[in-house]
Amino acid sequence: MGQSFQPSRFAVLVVEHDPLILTEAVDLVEEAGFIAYEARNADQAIRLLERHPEITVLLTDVDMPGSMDGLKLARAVRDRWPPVRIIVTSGHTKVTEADMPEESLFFAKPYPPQTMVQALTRVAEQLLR
Amino acid sequence: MPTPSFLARLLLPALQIKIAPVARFGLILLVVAAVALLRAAFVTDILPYLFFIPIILLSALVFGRNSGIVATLAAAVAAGCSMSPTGNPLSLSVAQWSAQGLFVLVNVGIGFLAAELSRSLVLLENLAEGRREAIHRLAAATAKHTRLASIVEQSQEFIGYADLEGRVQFVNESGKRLVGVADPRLTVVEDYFTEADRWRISAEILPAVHSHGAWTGEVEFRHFATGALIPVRYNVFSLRDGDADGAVVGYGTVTTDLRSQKLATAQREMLTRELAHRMKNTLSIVQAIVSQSLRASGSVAQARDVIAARLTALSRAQDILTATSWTQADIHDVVQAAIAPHRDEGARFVADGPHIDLDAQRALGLSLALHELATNAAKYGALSTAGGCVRMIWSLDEKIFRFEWIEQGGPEVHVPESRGFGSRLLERIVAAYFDGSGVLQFGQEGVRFVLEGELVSHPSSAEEA
Repeated sequence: MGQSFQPSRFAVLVVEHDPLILTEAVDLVEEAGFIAYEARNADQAIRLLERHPEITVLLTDVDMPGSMDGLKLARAVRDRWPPVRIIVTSGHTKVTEADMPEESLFFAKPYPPQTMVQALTRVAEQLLR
Repeated sequence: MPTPSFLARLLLPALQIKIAPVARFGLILLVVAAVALLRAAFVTDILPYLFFIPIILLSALVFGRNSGIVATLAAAVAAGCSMSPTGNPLSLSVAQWSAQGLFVLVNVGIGFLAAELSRSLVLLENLAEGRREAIHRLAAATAKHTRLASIVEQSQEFIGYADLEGRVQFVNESGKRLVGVADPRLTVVEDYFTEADRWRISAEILPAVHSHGAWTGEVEFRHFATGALIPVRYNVFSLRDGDADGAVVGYGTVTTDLRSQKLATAQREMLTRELAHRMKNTLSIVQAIVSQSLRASGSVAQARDVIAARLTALSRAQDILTATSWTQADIHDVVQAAIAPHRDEGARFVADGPHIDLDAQRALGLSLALHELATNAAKYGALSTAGGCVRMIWSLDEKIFRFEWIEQGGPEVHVPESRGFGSRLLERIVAAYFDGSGVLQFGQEGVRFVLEGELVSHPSSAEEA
């Protein structure tokens, strides 16, 4: 781990429609030392990204109501904010790499909390380089 | 068919009688003798031949030519006896001999004619009988073919045949409807296949038909008018002339429409995927509940109890949703299910509000909230004393949903020092399920919880949990 690595310098945007699962994911992100922003749909997520340039990681579920699902949101974020790292989670087993932007990570729900924390940390380290 | 003549109707049954020649001749002689005796006894000597002519005629008709000759000769002898003054048939005058000769000659001729007539009648009857049988056989065969044709025409399957060059000769009505073709005789077999499947005809299907006599498999036909794909089970076989040993004259097919079958399979697969997804989501919720409970618990034993109780509340909410295939739940059912364990222990509840359909997510959220409130009330609030009770009042005004939990008659309650998962669930998480706010108040009267949020009550747009 790099000397200068401080998770609190990074903000993670958590997008999840279910409030209970969202709360748990936000707690996890904060426990890992990151700043967490939360959104329950893609529109809220885009507004937060526009307002908070410090968001460097998008952690999104696939299923959500509204005009965009998580995969569309991931592609939109890759287009508008290319540096933002993307992590996709879903209960759908059929999500494939082809559905996601390049270099994004996928976690099947439910995921082990520790694995998610490690993935967030690795992503943050890569951003530092 | 001409009706048989009177003579034929009388004669034909008589001709069926089979009697040996000796018996026949004996019978004729007996009859001739009897007639001669009768004539001698009752009739005058004139007309010596007259009474014998019918016997000769009948003998020849029924028994044939030889019997006619026998009857003629016997009659001549009998007539001779009656004419001779001595009773000897041989001692006759020249005139009498001449009459005898003439009699024999004429009657042998009559016998011949009668026998021929009889044979002709039999021949004619045989011909008529043969024709009747032939007509019956033809009628039976025609009826059979008509029935077979009806089966082909009225079958729900696509039935048709093509010649050896693949030019379609016939397609039944079901087949024409299936692919929307008006005149199949203007088409070739290839036309029925999609572009993607056409190569299989020469590469796969025809070689199999040539070597095994038939091929069956799933292919896609196309609709002639709309171009829509039609999944079918295509069965094609060599069509032989006449029977199984005949020369191959074309290709026959009995093809089954698989659209409804494919649709059912697709729906089943979709349902299974949907169920798997729902299960994953439920597991994520369980993981969140467990994780949140562990964070807020002081000990493992405490965590074990609250986790078990929360999962039971979740499970009860799921039972309600299962009854409606996870579309919606009536708020009354949700409320009753959530308070049931406490009501069983004698707690007093008043529930008052309209019927409102909650989608799966909100039904789960409200169930968890009520579970937290009831558990807390049983431990520290109105349900911990004999006189306490809980009132639940809710309303839906325009889109504004309001739910109140009011404890009465319990001990005075204070704001807890630390806020656990329960308060967080009520104030933030459940409020989020309703896109609104949750306010938890502690006072002299007891706990009061007010949930306010937006609710558009149209069941068809229910979201997944």
